[in-house]
Amino acid sequence: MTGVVVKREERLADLLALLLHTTRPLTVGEIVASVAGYPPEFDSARVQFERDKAALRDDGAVIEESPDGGYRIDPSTYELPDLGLTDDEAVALNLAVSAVRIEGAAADATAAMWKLGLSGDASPPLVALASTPALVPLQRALSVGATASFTYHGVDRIVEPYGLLLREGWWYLVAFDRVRGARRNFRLDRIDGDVVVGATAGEVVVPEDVDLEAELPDEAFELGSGSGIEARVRVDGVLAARVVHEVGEQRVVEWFGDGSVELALIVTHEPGFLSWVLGLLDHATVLSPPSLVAFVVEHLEAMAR
Amino acid sequence: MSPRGRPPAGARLRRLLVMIPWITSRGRASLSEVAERFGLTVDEAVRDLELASIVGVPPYGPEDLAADLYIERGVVHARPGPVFRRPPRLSAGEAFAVLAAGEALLDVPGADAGGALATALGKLERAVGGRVVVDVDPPPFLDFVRDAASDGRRLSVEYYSAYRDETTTRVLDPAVVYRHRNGRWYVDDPEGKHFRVDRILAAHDTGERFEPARDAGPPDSVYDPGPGARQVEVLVPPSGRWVVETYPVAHTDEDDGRLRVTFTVVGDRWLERVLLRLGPEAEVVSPADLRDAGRDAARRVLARYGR
Repeated sequence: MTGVVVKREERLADLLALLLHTTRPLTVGEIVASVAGYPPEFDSARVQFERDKAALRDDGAVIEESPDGGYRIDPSTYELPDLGLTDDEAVALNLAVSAVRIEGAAADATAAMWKLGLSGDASPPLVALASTPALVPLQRALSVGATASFTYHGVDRIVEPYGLLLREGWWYLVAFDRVRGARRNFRLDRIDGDVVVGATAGEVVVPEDVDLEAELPDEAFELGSGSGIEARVRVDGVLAARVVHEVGEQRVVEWFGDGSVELALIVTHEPGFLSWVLGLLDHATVLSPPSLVAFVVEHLEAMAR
Repeated sequence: MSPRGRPPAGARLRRLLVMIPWITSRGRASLSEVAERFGLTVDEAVRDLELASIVGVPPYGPEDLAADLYIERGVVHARPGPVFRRPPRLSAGEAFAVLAAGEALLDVPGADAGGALATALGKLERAVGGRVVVDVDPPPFLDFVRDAASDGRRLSVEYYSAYRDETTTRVLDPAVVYRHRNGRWYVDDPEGKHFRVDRILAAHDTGERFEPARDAGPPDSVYDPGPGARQVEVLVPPSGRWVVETYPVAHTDEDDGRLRVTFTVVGDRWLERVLLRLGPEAEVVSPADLRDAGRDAARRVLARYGR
């Protein structure tokens, strides 16, 4: 084959095919002698092979190295398993991928559609999702059960990722923080720099009791920990229906004839509660407990001076 | 070339590794089908198929090639070889994209009537690993408004404007319904004005019709200040840095650690909410008639407490 120009894609595809097809690890010498496109001098060929190997690994190939320096790829680590989707399931997944647009370059569904044998759909999307660069390495960590390391609020963290949650336009990671020794939530847009995925697969086991939606509080006043205090709040008829939808019917103590409503809220984070109730302007009054009323009134009096 | 001196294996190789199992498992496909499926021109598809027809394993005889393939009168004929019978696994980015899309649609009313999406996602999650949850939180009138949009039915709605803190009753032609990346559901009228679905307090059919849906998805921005908007400059204490993460605002850092933030304000009530949350240390610099906006709002709320 000397003198024939072999395209890089062809050489890489042949290399990948050889490593997948071999039943025993192959040495660099065997590989560069078999695959067309490597330089005749062994040292140059070896350098080229190292580059190719790195390129395939960057694209996700799991190239095993045997103790005596041979290489192969276990086909089960390469091939997409048959998901066993029914026709209805394939249609549903197809519609979902077409109806949702993930913004930013973090994730491309097109290649996934090809691999899954789905065809796409030209209708305009119904849902746009925010994305951030941290999502892809975190998904990688989650898929193999590895740890993740990153800097958050200027502090280096090493965490055991449990899952990703999108709430009100922000992506969160729910994880066990090894340094703090406790479960923590991280807002992904506040991660500084890169996320590093741990080298050991299978190290992280997600506990059975993890419920991602429950790990992250719905409201600012539910941040923090402890059993909290019960706050009674009256909301007038202008905002009553919207606030009840937001906090849930189970928080309603009583509806009044003028359209207003009294709510019983469990507050574990007073600053969060203050921010929440101020957002309702003069449509809401805190009724009890006296300590919380005083907290809100003091803030307002400081501003009213 | 990447900064590390080697380019990634490339889009063409990735496409090839999907195209080979696709075409060999089908047996035959027209060139135009191949081109359409992979977003290529017919010439590009032919070049990719030529590459597909020569890769394989040593000694590269006809039975060693990944695809035993030829093109005849615009039709590709292909039989599977010893390798590349299945597509590669999903990359982390691809797995995330499909899981997130499925999860985002799962709790939209009516989107998964038969439950097939949920079972499909379960199979996918078991195969690729990981856990993604999208909190959809459909507002009460979402279903009603979406149905009206698809039928072209004119609605009468009670709508709460948070900018102005007032409820009005108005006619709304629901042209496009979507969830923006900020996590909220919107309905646009045919002129492209945005309404938040969670601020619709009541909705009724008028019995009239309008020219139905524009062919459009979520717009890039739903921030639409309009001609009446004013620029308000506020000095914000360090504790109020959240405002620059939350709102589309311009800001500069002051030497004393405060932020100088310029808000585009449509309604005074919106500004009041921000000022009340920022607390007494926030200071409106301009315009002059809004310098006391925070104090006035605090007094109005205090009146509810008999102060």
